[in-house]
Amino acid sequence: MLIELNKAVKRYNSGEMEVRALDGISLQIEQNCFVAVLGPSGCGKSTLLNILAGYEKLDEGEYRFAGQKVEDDHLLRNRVAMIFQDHQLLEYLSVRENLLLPSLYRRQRVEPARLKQVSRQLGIEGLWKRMPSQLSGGEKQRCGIARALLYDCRLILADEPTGSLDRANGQALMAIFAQLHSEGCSIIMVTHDRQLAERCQRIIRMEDGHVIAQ
Amino acid sequence: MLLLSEFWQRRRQFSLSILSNYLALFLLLAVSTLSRALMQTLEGRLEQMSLQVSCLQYLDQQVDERTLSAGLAERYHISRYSEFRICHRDEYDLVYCRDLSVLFPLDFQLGGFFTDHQVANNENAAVLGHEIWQDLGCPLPGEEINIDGAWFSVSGVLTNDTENIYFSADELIFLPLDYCRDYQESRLFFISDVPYLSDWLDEVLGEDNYLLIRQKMLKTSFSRLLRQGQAILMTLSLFALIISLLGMVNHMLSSLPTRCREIGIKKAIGARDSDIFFQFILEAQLVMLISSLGAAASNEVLMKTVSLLGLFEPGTDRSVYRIFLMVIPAGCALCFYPAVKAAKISISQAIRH
Repeated sequence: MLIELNKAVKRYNSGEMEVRALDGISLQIEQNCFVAVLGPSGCGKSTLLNILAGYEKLDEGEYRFAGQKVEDDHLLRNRVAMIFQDHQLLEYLSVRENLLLPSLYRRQRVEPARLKQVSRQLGIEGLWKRMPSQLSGGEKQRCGIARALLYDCRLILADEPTGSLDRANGQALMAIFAQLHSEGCSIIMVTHDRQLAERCQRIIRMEDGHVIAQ
Repeated sequence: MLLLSEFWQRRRQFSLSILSNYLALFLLLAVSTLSRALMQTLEGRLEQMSLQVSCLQYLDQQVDERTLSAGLAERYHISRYSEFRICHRDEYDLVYCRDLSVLFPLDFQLGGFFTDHQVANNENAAVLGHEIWQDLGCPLPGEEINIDGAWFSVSGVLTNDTENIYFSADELIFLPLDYCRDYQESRLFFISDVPYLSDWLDEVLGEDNYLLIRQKMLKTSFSRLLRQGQAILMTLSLFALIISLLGMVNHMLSSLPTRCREIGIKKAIGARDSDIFFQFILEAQLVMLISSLGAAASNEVLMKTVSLLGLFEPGTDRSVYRIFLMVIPAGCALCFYPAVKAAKISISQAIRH
């Protein structure tokens, strides 16, 4: 099992009100799966993703990744990559520098051949020297994916990756995800789009911090 | 390299911090090196003016100078001295003295000072200040001139603007002491290392009946004054530097909200808290390093310019650059707080921002 969440609770305090973004969720996700997390806004999808990525800690419950209990983000740092809705590239760095930046923090060297291969796969080979401001939305999103793929992560988390893309680019992105999945990568994607979700192996439906259907 | 590249891409954000630190450091260096050079130059000039010479000016004309001179010579082992009597005329001053060149390093345009040997042989000799020499029609050494009805042979002519801390010689005519008939003012110049003469002089001359001016005393006073000036300027420069460093810290703190997203992205792609912390420290170090190098280079240019213009010789003392050993770590230490605050920003908070 790649991911096991056991009675996971995550609370936020909004003034005097307490919001339970995750309200005792239990979840198992196996290796090499392609999962869509579906649900209305504010149901806890992004919080679930943040917990799975190690960006936030659970208030209650347990999170196990590949059989190991996750206490802090050390376990996940080199194994999980996140693709954001709005690409999250650093505007003052070129595409190539954005792609290579994680290598500095992960203490991993990226072989030039690997950089070329991933860039070719995502069609961004000719964009290396450009700044993010010179790219279209689809190109930025592909750069964000390339940054996630370069480092052999076991799990890719995508937070509404097609949210800022037009239909054609959204379809192209799904094709890339399908290819990555066929190559052995696990993907968990948060989306509002039912049609896109139906292209995944498994759909998790959430509402008010609960999983209502799998 | 990536961090340097980041720094370079965001150089505009750091430019004001670099500029203010550079100006403050340059001010500090320039004040330090210029005032030190000024002090060395002043001390050198005083040395050139023969530091050991003291001047005793009598306020009471009834002093028995020969007894006094003999007493001084015996008590303080004074071997070189000259009495010096001044008689003021309308167009010039007559100075009766012995060979002053044994006391002062005087520059001659022509000839030299009359010697005690010439005086002993009753050779009427005179040394002329430059302006008087011109007024008298520029007589050459050996030529005779009439002064107060007596004829004197020109022994030497001093260069223009000859002066030391005791007198300016351009309008003086120096004559042998034995020709002195009347005088309005008298002094005694002598060379002595003895630090304090006043007790004995009070006893012999009477309190408040004389002025004693020692060159060493003057040098010490000047040096103390310059050191005080230097200390004040250095303090002001240090304040400027501290304000500049605080400005850098303030800039780093105020830039945190705008850099929140950047920090979040970096943490999301694998940066640890320590990576963010060291990035901020590295940025502070680079700001301080660039400012310091700029200030050092500008200081060298300033020194070269001062030297070329001949204002004074700045010397080759580089010990002032030790200040960087304090300033660069201090700048980094001050940036510790913003760096810690940046490192503590959580990913989810930062990305939502």
